[in-house]
Amino acid sequence: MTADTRETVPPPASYWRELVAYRGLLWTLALREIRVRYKQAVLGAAWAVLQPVLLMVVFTLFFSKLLHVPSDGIPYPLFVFSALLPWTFFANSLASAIPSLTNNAHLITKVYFPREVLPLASVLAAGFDFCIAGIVFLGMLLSYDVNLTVGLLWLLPLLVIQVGFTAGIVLLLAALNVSYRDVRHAVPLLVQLLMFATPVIYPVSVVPERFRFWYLLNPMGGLIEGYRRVVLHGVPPEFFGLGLAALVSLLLLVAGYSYFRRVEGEFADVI
Amino acid sequence: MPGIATSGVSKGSLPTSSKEAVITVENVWKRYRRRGVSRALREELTAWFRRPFRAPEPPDTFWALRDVSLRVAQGEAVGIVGPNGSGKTTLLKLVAGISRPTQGRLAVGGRIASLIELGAGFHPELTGRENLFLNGALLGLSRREVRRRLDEIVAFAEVQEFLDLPLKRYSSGMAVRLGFAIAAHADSDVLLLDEVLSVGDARFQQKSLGRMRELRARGATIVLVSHNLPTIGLFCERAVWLQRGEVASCGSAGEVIEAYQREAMRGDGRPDKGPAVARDGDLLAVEGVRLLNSAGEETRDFRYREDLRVYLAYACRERLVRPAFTLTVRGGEGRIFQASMLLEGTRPDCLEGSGEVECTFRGIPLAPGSYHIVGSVRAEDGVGYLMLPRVVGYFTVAADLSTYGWTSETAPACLPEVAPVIVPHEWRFHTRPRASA
Repeated sequence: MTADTRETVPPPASYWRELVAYRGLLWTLALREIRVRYKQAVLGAAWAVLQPVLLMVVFTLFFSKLLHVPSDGIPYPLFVFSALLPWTFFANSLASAIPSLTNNAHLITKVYFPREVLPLASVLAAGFDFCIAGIVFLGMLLSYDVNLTVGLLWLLPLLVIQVGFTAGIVLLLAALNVSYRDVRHAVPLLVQLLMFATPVIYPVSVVPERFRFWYLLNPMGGLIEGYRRVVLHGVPPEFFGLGLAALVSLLLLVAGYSYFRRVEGEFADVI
Repeated sequence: MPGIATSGVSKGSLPTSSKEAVITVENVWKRYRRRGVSRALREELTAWFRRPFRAPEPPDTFWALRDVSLRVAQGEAVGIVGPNGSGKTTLLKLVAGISRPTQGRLAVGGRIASLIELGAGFHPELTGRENLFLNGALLGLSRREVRRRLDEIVAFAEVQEFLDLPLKRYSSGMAVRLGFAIAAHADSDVLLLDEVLSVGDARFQQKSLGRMRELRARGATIVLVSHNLPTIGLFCERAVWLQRGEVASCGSAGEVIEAYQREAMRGDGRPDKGPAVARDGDLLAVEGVRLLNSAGEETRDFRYREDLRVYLAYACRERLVRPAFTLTVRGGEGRIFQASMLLEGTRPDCLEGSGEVECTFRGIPLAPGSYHIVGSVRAEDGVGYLMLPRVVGYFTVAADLSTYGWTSETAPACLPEVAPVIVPHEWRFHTRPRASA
C-alpha cells in the first residue's frame, strides 16, 4: 500500500491505470444515465429508435421526394438512416456529455474520482441508444435484401475512430464548459450546422473534388462515408478519408484529454 | 491496491525517508476565488483586456490554507478541529484529491474513501440497491465487490425492507445511514470523515464509531473533521487545530482539544497563533483511566443519577509536594462540574512513584449525551501545572427517557436544546380565580 504513494502530479501512464481502476464507475454511471432517462418515460427505450426513425421519414420526404437529392443508387431511407445512426450517436453524445460535469457538480465537489469518467459515461450511454437503433437498422437492411458480408467487420475500426473522435471533443468541451457556460449553448447550434457539412442527407460524391480534403477534415465525413460503403455497398472504406479521420481524431483526443487533465484540478473550485 | 487519489503541484523533491507516512502534506497553500462562480466568456474577455492594469494578486481571492503541513502514518487517526471557515474541509478535500493545492506538496497512498458528504451521488429516482452500486463505484468498488458486501452493508444501514424502493421514499436518516454504511464497508486504506460520525441517532452514532474502531484495528488510516470534540478525543491520538487556514497547534488530541476549547471559551477572540501546548514537560503523567458505575463495573455508558467513579493511574517523575488534582466534567458547551483538590484543600502532602487516585461523583445529574473528563494537576503554588489540562476520559449518558420523566413523543425534537444538567424538580400551578369586573 505504501509503495503506492505517488508523486503529486501523476504521470500520464497512471491516467490509464486509474481509469481502469474506475471502470466500474464508468459502467455504473452509464447505467444510471440510461435508467434515469427512461425510468418515467412511457415509451422507454423506444425513444432511442424514434428519434432517428422520425428524422429518416422527414428527410426522405423532403430531400428525396421533393428535392431529389441523389443517394448513389441506394434507396433513400436506407441511405439516410445509415448516416443518421452514427450521426445521432455523435450528436447525442455531445448533448449529454458536455454538460455532464456541471450537471454533476455535487459529485465533483464532494467525491474524488477521475473526472473524465462523467463525460465518457455519457458517451457510453449514448452508445446504448445507438445499439438499440442499430437493431432496427438491421431489420431494415434485411427487409431491403441488402447483402451482409464479412466486410461488416470494418464497422469495428470505424466505431473505434468515431468513439475516439467523440471522446476528444467531449473531453475538451466539457472541461471548457466548466469555466464558460457559453459552450453548452453554442454546441447544439454548431452540431446542427456541422450536420450539413457532413454527408448525412447527401453523398460525398456531390462535393467537388478540390474541396474534398478540407471537407474530410471533419472526421464524421470520412466515417459516415465509410459506414455507407461498408454496410450498403459492401466495399471497404476509402483509405484517404478514413486515415484522415483517424489522424484528426487522434490529435483531438490527445489535445482534449491533455487539456482536461490540466484543468480538472480546478473543477471543484470553479464549478 | 491501486493508489487512486493524489493531486497537487509538485515543489521540490519527494522525500522517501518516512516509509509509513500514508498522507503527506507539505507547506500546502490553497487560494480560492471569493466568488466561487464561473464567469461567462464575456467577463473573461473583458478581464483579459484589462489584464495589464490588474494587480498581481486579484483582490477577489483569499487563502483558505496557509503553509499547512501534516504527516499521517499508517493506522493513525488524526482529528482536525477549528472554528467554521478555518479550512478544515478544504484540507480534507485536498487530501481526497477533490481539489488541488495552489502551492505545496501533497501525497496520499492507498485507496481513499472520502466521506465529506454521505450519499453523494445518490439519485432519488433510483432504488436503494441501485444507489448502493453507484455509490460503491464512486468509492472505487467494482460491482462484484459491492455485491459481495451487499448484505453486510444493508444490515448495517438497517434498510433491508426498503432496499428496492426508490430513494425518494427514504427518510433522510435512512439515506444517510445507507451512505455511511457503504463508505464504511469500502475497505479503504484511508478514510476522510467530515462530521459524519454525528449522523443518525445516538445508537447509530455508537455503531458508526464502533465500525471506525474496527477499521482502525485492521490498519486503516483515519482523518476526522468534527466540531464534536469528545468524538475526536475519543477516537484520535493526534489532532490538528486549524485557525484561519493556519495550523495553530498540533499534538496529542487531548492537548490540542483542551487548548482549542480554552481559546474558544475566551470569547470569540481569534488568536493568530494558538497558545503553546506543553508536550513532554509534565512532571506527572496519566497512565490510564478507568470509569466505574454504581455497580462497580467498568464502563463508558452511564445512566442518569448514577455514580461515576474515576480511577486515574498516575506516574510521578519526581517527588511532588502538595499536588492538586482537578477533574472537570465537560460537555459540548463547556465545564459542567468538577472536583478540585485545589479548592477543597484536600491535597496529599506529597506524592511519588506511581499509583491511582480515585474520585467518586455521586449521582451525576446529566442529560443524555456524551461528555469528557479533563484532568489537570497543579503544583504546590497552585498556579503552575504538574500536568497540563488534558482529556483523560469519555463517557456517555444513555437516553433512557423515562428516568428523566420525559416521554418519547416530546423528547427527540427537543434533545439538541437540552441543558446538560437536570436536577430533580417538580411543577406546580397556583391558580387564582379571575377577578370579575
